[in-house]
Amino acid sequence: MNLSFTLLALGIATFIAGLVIIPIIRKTAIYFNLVDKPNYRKLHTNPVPLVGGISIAFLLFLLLFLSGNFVIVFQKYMPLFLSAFVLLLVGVIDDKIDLSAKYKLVLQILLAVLMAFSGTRITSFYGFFGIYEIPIYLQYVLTIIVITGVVNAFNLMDGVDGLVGSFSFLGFTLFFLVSLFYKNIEMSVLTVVFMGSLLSFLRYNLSHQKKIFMGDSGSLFLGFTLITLGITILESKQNNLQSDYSYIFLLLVSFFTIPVLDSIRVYLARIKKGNSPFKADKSHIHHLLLSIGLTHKKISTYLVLVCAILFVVGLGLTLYFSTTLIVLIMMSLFWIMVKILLSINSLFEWKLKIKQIETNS
Amino acid sequence: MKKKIAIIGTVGLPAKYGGFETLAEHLVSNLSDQFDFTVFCSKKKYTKQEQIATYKNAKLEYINLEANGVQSILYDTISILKALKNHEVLLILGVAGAWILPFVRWFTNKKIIISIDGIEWKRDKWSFLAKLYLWWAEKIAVTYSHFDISDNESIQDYTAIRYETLSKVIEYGADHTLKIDPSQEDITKYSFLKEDYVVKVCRIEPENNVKMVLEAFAIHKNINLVVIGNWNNSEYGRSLKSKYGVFKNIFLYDPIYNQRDLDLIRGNAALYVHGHTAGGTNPSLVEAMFLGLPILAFDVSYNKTTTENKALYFSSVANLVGLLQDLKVGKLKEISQNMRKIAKRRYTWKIIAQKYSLLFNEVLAFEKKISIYNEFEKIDDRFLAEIQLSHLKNTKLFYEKI
Repeated sequence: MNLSFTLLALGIATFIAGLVIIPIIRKTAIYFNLVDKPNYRKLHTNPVPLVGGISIAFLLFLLLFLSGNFVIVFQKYMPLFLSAFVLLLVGVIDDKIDLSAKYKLVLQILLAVLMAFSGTRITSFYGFFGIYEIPIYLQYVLTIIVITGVVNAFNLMDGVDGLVGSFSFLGFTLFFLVSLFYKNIEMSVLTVVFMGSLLSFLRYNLSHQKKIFMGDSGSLFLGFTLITLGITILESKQNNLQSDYSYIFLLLVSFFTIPVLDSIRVYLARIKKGNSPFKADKSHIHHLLLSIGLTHKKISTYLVLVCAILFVVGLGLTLYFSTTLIVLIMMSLFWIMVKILLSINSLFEWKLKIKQIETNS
Repeated sequence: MKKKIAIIGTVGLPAKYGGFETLAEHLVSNLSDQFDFTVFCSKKKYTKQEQIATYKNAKLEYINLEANGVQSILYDTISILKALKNHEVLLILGVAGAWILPFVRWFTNKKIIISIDGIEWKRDKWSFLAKLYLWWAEKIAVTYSHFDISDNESIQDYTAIRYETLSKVIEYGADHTLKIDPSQEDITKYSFLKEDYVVKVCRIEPENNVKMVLEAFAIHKNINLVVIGNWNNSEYGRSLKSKYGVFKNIFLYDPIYNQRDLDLIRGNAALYVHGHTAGGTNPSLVEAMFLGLPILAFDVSYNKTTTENKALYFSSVANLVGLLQDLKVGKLKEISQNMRKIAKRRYTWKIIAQKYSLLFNEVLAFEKKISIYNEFEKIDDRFLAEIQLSHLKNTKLFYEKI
């Protein structure tokens, strides 16, 4: 009881600190011109400071430090912290001068390699397709692919207000619950501070007057933190039971399904068109939802809800079906959803084309 | 042995309703000596006494569902499944049941001809979900049929652009309409028959530009306008009726079910106004053309192809008023003759039935859907260059008109 009260207080303190500090960081960013200028692909019309990542990282340090938890948390998650902050810095540079996607990718792979060598590895398929323990070289390859893939996916998902913020909030909340369950205090502290800071970020991200954006710095930083924390939980020695593994495996899969599958779909579609997979366009799931007329807030809410529902329903189904089947069902549901959205979109496009055909001849 | 053909997707025979039913009726009466037809009918629309086993040598099969609306999906599906039993060719009118066609293609060797009936998915009368279904069903229909029929060349352009396949264009016939001279009794019943008048017969819906036409005649009061349609079906209709019904030169009638009266009113008009914007060849337009009425049509590609660009076209109230003010007797006469000529050449049931007969024979002989692309495009570039025939690849597609 006492512990959860302390954690709750820490979360609230972070949130309040965020409300106070973010406007200051925002002003500083405007001074340094760390802003997003509108262009044809962007959906906003005024320059907006790109300080989500910086704000969250700053709050994280500040609150861990003030609450006296900095040393224990830092010690436990040192490689994660170091890599995440490197990404944050690179992200800031990217926000300022637009780095090439290739450099970013190389860096993400390097950091994923670092994580794999530091011991944060996926060592098993946890019964997916009946496969458990996998050979060591495959562990490295898989870990690197998964980390890079998720970081990229988060980076691409940052296209409408509140999406990466609320998605990450959901992720840290799920991890927080898991950490409470396993009495992993360091992780509880870390995740609750993230939750508080993300809420305060969302407060400004969704406002009109004092708007800030996540920025590449933020999406890279959060994506990396979430996936490495996820792998850490999965590999944690505390969960010995097979059922625990499959719950956590399912949690991670349902959480990462939407961003990862969507980024894969977008990459494949670009390659199919003969373009570079990194050539930006407006084909992500949030773009599809935008073009059917949903607002930013609704898009974020719906996607986060879908993700949460996938997890809860999936969890319930573990009583009856194998994890493999559930994961495959989740993927097919996502596929059906995207198919419907794509046909709605092409219907809208053809409405315009038909107008042309009708009036041209 | 005559080949067996199933006609699916109409309300049924004898035809009491719209375009597809009239088409089925004329196919049956023109082609029964060449093919054995079965027509699937809706039990809901025919009373016990009206449900007969054969009609004009065609077998009638009844399905206990509505042929239109949401039920049409099931109605068409069940008809298709029943037709699989002993027919060689399935002529499906409308795309509602198209979802099952992939399975029909995979598991049977029946020949499928489907008429996609205009561009249904863009029509305002459907809800968004219905539009989405029709949009998808049309794609399935074109992809999984042996032949698809467009009722207008502009729709053929559309399917060529969207699906890269060549649609067969077959329109509707109109020679079932009659010109009736008014008797003294008629003139007392319909007082406007004494003078020149303009006529419009349509469903009262925004896509038929009813408001635009009424507004124009509220401004141009020199000539009478007679509009026949379901005014009391919607708020749109009721508000238009109360607003424009008060004008002395505007006569608004509820639907007239007496065919003779309808033919009388249409046939004796001085001018036919056609405001339809929905995709395709509209039966009411070809009927007016066959009656030799001068046509004032809304300016969309479908109406222009139907009238071969030889009628008058309007796109706004001001535009229509301008045209009405400039009408010359000589010009009207010329349009009237042209319309009649076109209709006699293209829109008689004999010709339409002939086209269907050819199509049935063709589909029985061929396996593959026709691509819009030139066969030469498959030949290796270097080989063509060697024999100096590279130019054979330079084709322009028919929809690139300019």
